Amino acid sequence: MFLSKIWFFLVTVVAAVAITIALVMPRPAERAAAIQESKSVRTACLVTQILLTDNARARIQLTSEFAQAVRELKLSNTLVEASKGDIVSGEANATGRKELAKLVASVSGTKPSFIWLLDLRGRVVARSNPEDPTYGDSMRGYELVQDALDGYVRDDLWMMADGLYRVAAAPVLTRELDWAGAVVIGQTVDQEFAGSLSENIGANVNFYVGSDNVASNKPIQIHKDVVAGSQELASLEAGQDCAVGKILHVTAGQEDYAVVSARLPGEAGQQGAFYSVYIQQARPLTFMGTLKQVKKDDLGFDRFPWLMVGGLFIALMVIGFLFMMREVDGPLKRLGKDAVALAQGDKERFNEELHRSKYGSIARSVNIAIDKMQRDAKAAKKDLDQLLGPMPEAGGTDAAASALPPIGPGGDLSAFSAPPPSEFKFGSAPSSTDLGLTPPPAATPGLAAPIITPAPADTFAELRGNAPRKPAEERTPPPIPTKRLQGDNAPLKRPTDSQIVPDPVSVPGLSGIDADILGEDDDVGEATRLFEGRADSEHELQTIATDGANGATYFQEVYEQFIALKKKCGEPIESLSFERFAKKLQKNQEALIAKHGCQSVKFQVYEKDGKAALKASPVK
Amino acid sequence: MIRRLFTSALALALILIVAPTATLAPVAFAAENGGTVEGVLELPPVQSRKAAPKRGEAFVPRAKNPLRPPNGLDPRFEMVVVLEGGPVDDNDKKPQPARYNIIGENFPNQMLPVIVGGKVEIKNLGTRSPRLYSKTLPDVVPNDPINRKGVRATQAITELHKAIDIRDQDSVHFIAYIVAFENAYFAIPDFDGSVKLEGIPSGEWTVKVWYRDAWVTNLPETKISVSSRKAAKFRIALPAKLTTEASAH
Repeated sequence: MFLSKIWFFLVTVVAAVAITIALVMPRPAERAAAIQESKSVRTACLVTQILLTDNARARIQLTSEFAQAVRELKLSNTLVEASKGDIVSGEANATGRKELAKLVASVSGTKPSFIWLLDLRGRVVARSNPEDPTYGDSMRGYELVQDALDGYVRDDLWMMADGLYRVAAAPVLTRELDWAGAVVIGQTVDQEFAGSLSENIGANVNFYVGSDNVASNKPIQIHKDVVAGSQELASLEAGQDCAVGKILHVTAGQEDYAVVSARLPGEAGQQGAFYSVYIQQARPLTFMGTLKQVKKDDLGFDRFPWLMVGGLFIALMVIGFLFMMREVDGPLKRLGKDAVALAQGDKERFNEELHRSKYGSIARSVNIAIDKMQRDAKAAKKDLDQLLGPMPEAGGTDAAASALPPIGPGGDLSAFSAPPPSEFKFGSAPSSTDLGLTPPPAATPGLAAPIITPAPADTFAELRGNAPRKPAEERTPPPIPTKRLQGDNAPLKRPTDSQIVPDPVSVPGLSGIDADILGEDDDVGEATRLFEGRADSEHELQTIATDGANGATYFQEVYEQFIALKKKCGEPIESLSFERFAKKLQKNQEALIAKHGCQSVKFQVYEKDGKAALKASPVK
Repeated sequence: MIRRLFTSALALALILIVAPTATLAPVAFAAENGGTVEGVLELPPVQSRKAAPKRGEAFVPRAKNPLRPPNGLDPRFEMVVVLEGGPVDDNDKKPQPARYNIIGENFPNQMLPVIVGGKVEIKNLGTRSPRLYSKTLPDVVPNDPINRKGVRATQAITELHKAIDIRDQDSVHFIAYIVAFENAYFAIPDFDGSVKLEGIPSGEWTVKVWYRDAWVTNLPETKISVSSRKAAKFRIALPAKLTTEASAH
């Protein structure tokens, strides 16, 4: 069992480790996913910045092209003239609007949200938006406009009344390269722009100015948390927001998002404009969550090592079975086989060398019980010898002991009576186990020792339940139980005579317990049989010897009847002298009287199995 | 009928008299029957001027126009030309309100001179509704939004020669400076640097230039003689590098 236990321990450890791994594995995966999400959102933020910069360059380029077009269209002259007046004239505005409309129409792709033509004073000469016909107001306050009027091209972000705009400005020169004014182009930051960015970066984008969300590609309500988190941006070094800014984890509905924010530059940036890039976070992976995520493809032979897992399972199982067979099934089978051999009489005891560990212990215990019973049997034989006289030595001790009747005047033979099968327990202490299963060894043929017929009770096979029981009428009445099991450790008690002597009333004229004396003298080789049973009524002898004088006469009568019956049965009578016969009867008579306290003993001659037999019965 | 004609003529005369006073021209806080001063602040050559200050930057750094070198620094939008040393009319010392208009995104000029003790009236002619405030003197101007064509008056500016900034809470680029002078003989240059003062009492005057928050100290002394018959003219060539009292300190 040692290896089996070790094996089961190892398998349990492996199972525990496997379960632990299965429960723990989602956590590293979660961390890896979180790290990957952080990298992704930071990368998306940086890419957004790059895209915004590229977009600004493209816008500056477009503005420069517009400024060039204004110069070529001689619209620059209109700007110069407008600059000279205290106010911008309506004529200059009309000219400017007309030419601007042509320019806007020539733009392919996304058209600018607005185009302004400014004179040298920074006043608006014309606007491209047909819905806004105003002009003459000064835009000089804008830093971008001042730069353009000073001869620079650049971009900026403006927070205007109706939203956030990406703008660019360029100076306008005349054909003579004199300063004429400036052109400003603006493109709104709206949902469409956020959507295009989102498509490029693979993440969601929101634009904010202060606490106001001005553009989002998705209407996910995370603004409050994002705006609150953006307060920390002020402490960061400029340009490092995406790289080192804190990643916020916000929840909208049932979804979690990782958000990183970065400040926007320009005038809008000074007003607190920023953008946020966010991606949806993977749900926490619990063990069950991981199982739910398993797809059919994950279990395919190309993805999952079924062969390895199956082989490992079979190997573990086979090894376990081998250990079980080696340490449990095999020894148990050997013990069972040994027990069957013991039961069938092929063996007298277990071979302890064949059995190890617990099974060896069981075998040893059984052997101890067998030894004890043998000792008890010898003791019983000794008692019987004392009661009935010594048995012929030729029969052997075991034969004589085994030939003892279960109940009789010869002594307490209860140890040889077959107990009920249910009383048989391997685990019981040998000293307290009434096995009673040992079949009596067969008497050696030809010996003068008395041949004891098996107990008229159930056979050994019947007791084990392996053989069909005889019908009740065919069976000899079971022996009177002389010992009642009082538990495994109950001591074997000798029953009193009053317990085993039946009530004389039940058999009128007899003392209730009969004893047959069969046989002939040991010298002639005939066995004497003692057994319990009823005598044939036709051979009953009514004369009872009560004393020595009468006893000789009585013994003579019995002797004559016995000789006569032997003759009748064809048995030899030469070796059976009266003296010896009388001596035997006398001894039995004395023994029965001493044992039962009876007044006399009645001997009955009868025929048994074609032979003459004699039965002694105490008479009270 | 005659009475009606008389009444109309009187009203017209009243309007003609009052209107110039109500419409406070930025170039003229002048005494009656005074002379006119005309002048110009000339910038140095572009090559010698400092580059225009970097006013801000977005995604792409500003770049020079490829067709022509950019203009250099033009400080004239932050200058005030002031006449000193001449006979000052007592009326021109009295505090008077000075009105400046917001056009578009800012004032035409970033300097808002006023006679000491006087108030500055700010009218919004732009499209937005600025909310003005001051870092220097927080309570100097109401903070409520000024609707289009609305007017807000500052407190009386009592401190002489101190620049008080005026800003808009909703705009980064909106900034101007109120400065109080002793009398009304000051003017702000036009976008081309030209200056015109009218009603200046006849006499000898010295032309001084105020730049943002202090007097410019490295200008050649410019003296003019003002009479009612002929406009006095001056021409001041601004140096490539301006020095002010503030910068000297």
